[in-house]
Amino acid sequence: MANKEPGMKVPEDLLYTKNHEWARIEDGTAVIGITDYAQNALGDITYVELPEEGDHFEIGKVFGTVDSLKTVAELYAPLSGEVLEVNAKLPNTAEQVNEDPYGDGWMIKVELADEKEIEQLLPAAEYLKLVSKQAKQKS
Amino acid sequence: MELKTTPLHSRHVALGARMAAFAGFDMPISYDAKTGGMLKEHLAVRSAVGMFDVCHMGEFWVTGREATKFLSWACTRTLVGVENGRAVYCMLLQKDGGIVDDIIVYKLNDETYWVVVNASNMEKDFAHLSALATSFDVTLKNVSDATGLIAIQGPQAVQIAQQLFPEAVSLKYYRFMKNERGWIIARTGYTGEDGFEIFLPSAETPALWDALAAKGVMPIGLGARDTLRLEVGFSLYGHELSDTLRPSETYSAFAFDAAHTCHGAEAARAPARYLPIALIGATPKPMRAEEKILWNGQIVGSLTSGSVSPARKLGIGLGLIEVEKVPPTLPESAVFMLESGGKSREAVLTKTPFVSTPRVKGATKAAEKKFA
Repeated sequence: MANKEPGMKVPEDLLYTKNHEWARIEDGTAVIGITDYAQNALGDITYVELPEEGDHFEIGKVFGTVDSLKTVAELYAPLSGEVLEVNAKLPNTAEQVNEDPYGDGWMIKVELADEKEIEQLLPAAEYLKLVSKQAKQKS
Repeated sequence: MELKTTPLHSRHVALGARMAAFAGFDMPISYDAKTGGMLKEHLAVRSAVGMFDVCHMGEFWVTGREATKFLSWACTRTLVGVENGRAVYCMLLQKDGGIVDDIIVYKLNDETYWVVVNASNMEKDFAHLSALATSFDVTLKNVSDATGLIAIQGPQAVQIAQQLFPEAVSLKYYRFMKNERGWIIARTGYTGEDGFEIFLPSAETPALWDALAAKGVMPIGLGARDTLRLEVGFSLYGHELSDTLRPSETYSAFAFDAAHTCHGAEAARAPARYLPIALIGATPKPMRAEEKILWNGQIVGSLTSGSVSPARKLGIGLGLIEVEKVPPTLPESAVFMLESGGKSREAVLTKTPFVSTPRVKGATKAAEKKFA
C-alpha cells in the first residue's frame, strides 16, 4: 500500500484479476470487490447492481454491473462459486466503492466451488505492475 | 484528426484533468485530482461557484447596415425592436425546418451583433449564415480562434464578479455589456445558476483563469457541465437538437417564435412528429443516451441524454418519442420502460427542470419566460 498515487492502492493480502476485481480468500470463501484502480477509472459511482444470495457464478462470468456518471462496467467473477452474502447497503450507498473499495465497498462473498482456481489470480505485486503499465499508457 | 486546444489547455494539464476529445478540441472532462471528481464539481456550482473553459465555442461578428434585418431572417426570433445589450436565445433553421444550431445573439446595436454558436457547429453555422447573407448588406467575421470564453457559474458568482469586474454585477439575466477592456460580459450560462460568461481575447484568457483560481473558484469540466444542464432540462445540440428535428419537437421550442417569418419557419410549423419527454428513474442508476424507450411493450423512441441528478439521487433523462406511437395525451406520471443490454427498468414521465434553480424554476413555462 506504499503507493499513494490516486487509484494505485493495491493491498498485499488480496488477489486480483486483470479485469480489476479483487478477492480476499478465507476458509474456502472469497470476499469480492473492485480495485482502487477500477473505482478511480470509473469516476463517481452512483449505482451497483449485485446478484442475490444463492446465485451461482462461473469464473469469468458477469455477476453484476457498476454505473458511474461516466460509464457502466460489468463485474466479472474472479472465482466460481455460490453467493453467500451480498453487501446489501451498496445499492443505496454506491459511493462507498469510490471511498473504500477494499472495505465498505465490498460487493459479494462467495463460497468457492474450486479452490484450484485461486492459482489463476494475480498476486498484489503482479497486479500493481499491470496497473502501473496501464496508467502509464493512459498518460 | 489533430485535436485543437484552447488557450487554457496547459492549465488543465497542470491540474491533472481527465482530458477527452469534444467538438474537435482536447477538453477537460473533470479535474479529479484537484476537485475530487465530477460530482463534487457539480455540487460546487450548485452551492458555491465554479469556472468553465468554454473557449471552444464559436463566435462571429455580424455587422452592417442590414444586420438586424439579416439576423431576423436567419434566426427563429426577431431582433427588430430588441433593446441594445440584450442576449437572445434562438435557432438557425434549414429550409426544411431542421435545426442547424441553437445560438445566442447578443445585440450591441442595430448594426452590430455578437453571435455565439456551438463548437461542433461552428464551421457549418458560418457557412449557413454566409450563404443567407449574400442578399443583405452585412459583413460576417468568424473570430472563434481569437476569442476565449470563461463561464463563472453558481450562487457566489456575483461575489467573484464584484472583485474582478464590478462593472458587470448590475447586469440582469440575459443582458450583457462590453467593458473598457473590450470584453463582452454576459449574465448568461448553461447551468441554471446565476453567473457570467466572459468573452475576451484568447491571449488574455489564461490571466483571467488564474485570477479566478486565486480567488478559490473551482475548475469545472465538461462532465459536470453536462449533468448541470441536464438537471435543469437545457437542450444540447447533437442530443436534444439536430438537423432532422424541428424546434417544436424539442425542449427548446420556446426559442422558435412561430409567428415570426424567418428562413425555414414555414416548414418548421408542420405538425410535430416527435415529442420530447423527461423521464426520472426509480434508482440512482444513470440513464444513458440511446437507451430505448418502451410504451406498452413497444419501442416508441430513445433517450437523447441521460445521467443521474445529484440533487435527487435518481437517474434522469431526456428522450424523444414518436407521436403516432403513443396516446395523444399521456397520463401524468406515465410509466415508460427503458431498455439496455437486454434488461429493462421503469422510468416515470416528469417535467423539466428536474431540479429548480435560481434561474430555472418550476415547469418549462417558467423557463420560457426567463428566456424571453
